[in-house]
Amino acid sequence: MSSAHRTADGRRQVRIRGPLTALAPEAKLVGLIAFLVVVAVTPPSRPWALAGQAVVAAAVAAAALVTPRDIVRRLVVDLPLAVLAATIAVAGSGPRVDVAGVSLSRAGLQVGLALLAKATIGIVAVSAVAAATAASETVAGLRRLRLPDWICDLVALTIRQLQILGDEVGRLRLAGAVRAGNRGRRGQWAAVARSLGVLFVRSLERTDRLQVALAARGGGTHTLACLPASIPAPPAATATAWAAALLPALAALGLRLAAGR
Amino acid sequence: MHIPDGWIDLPTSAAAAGAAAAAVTVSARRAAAHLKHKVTAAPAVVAAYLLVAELLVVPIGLGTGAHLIGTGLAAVLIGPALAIVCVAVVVIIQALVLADGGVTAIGLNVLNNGAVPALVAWAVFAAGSTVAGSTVAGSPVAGSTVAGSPVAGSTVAGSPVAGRPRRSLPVIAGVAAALATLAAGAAAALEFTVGGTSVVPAKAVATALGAGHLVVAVVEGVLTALVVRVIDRLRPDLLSTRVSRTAARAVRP
Repeated sequence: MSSAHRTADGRRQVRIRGPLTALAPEAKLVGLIAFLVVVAVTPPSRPWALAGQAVVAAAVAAAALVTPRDIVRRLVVDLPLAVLAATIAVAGSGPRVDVAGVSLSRAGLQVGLALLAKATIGIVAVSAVAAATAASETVAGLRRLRLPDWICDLVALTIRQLQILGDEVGRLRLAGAVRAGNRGRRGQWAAVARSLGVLFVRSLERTDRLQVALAARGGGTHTLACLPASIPAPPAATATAWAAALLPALAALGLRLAAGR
Repeated sequence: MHIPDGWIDLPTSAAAAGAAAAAVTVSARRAAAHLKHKVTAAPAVVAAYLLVAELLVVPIGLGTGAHLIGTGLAAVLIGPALAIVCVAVVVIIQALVLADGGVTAIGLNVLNNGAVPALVAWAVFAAGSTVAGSTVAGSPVAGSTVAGSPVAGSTVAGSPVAGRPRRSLPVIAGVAAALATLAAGAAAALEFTVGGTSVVPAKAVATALGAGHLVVAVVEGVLTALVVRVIDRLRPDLLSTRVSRTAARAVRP
């Protein structure tokens, strides 16, 4: 099973060819970063620009055929951020407003909501690119963007190891569940610690094997063969691809400028 | 915690990216010098370990769960240089593939989740194990000699070094991991103070982040101590490589 056939979190993935799939990965990465930079510099005092940018991100996600379930699953990371945003709203300076009986700082509320919106836009945008780009293509994109070779190799190998260790975790969890019965909280902690310890030892033991495999492939002296031979390398970026990939960033920039200074 | 996109202003993010790139490059050089081969296999496996470790969740009450972050564990077991490289790879994959943590905040997250906690954990572990009597070897990546012969490890396990201090190693590792987590929280608070919003006083942000990280630090500390104990029982050579080097040095006049 090659890395191209699964998502990085180990689930089998059926690749549906959407309009974004065919785009060169380096163009997608640059487009993503440009979009996020524009979102980052949009001030909290321009909520409509942020709302428009959120719509742009959602449209790209729809074009990338991201399922709403995937996005909701990832938005879980927003929860602790929401706590921090609430802190900003409560502890912020300046004039206060009453929202549902709680006295909040007007400026703090605006900033808190804007930060939450930016985090959410980021998650949606990355989800869109990740859904349309296999992990091995992302690595190829990073390579073409002139990231040092060793770190690209490292990311590629890590993604591959992720699948192997993910399977291992599945087995450890199953074994733990079969033997666990109804243990209390202490028992569960001990079981997780045992699994983590076993997993670490097995992982390090894999290192030797991996080292041998790498040596057999040329000792890391040249680019690792990340892609299996049967899967063609992703297309290189053409001018059209760059233009298409930068479209969301330009739309976001337009929205920012339309909102005024 | 992972700083998302748009929370820290661009100049601070760019500066952090530069600092993070420098830290990772230096760490990779150091690690490569100690590993004597290309730095690819060991950090790839450990980075994957840190990513899948999140799948094993322990209950912490109120129906919520927590998972191992692992920077402290990695710093203790394989040394801070390799740990920093591993966390950098983890942060890149989380930002670009898993949509966890901002893409424009990759540099910030490498600093506050990697460099800062790894160095703190290493310093605390080194100091703690010195105090406990089992001095740690000078090499920062001593434990990463995975290919080191297990025979050497097992002889050490039976040597006088493997006495009372040895049993305290898991506790020291736990304390190191807990303090590393608090340092990570402090680094995030600092980044937010420098490049975040000025609407809210820095103290309020620090308090909120500190309170959150306090709980996480306790969980991380306990979990790390338990895991190190398990690893020490399964492969005593992994931890004792450091102990053995110091023992050899102590015997030498």
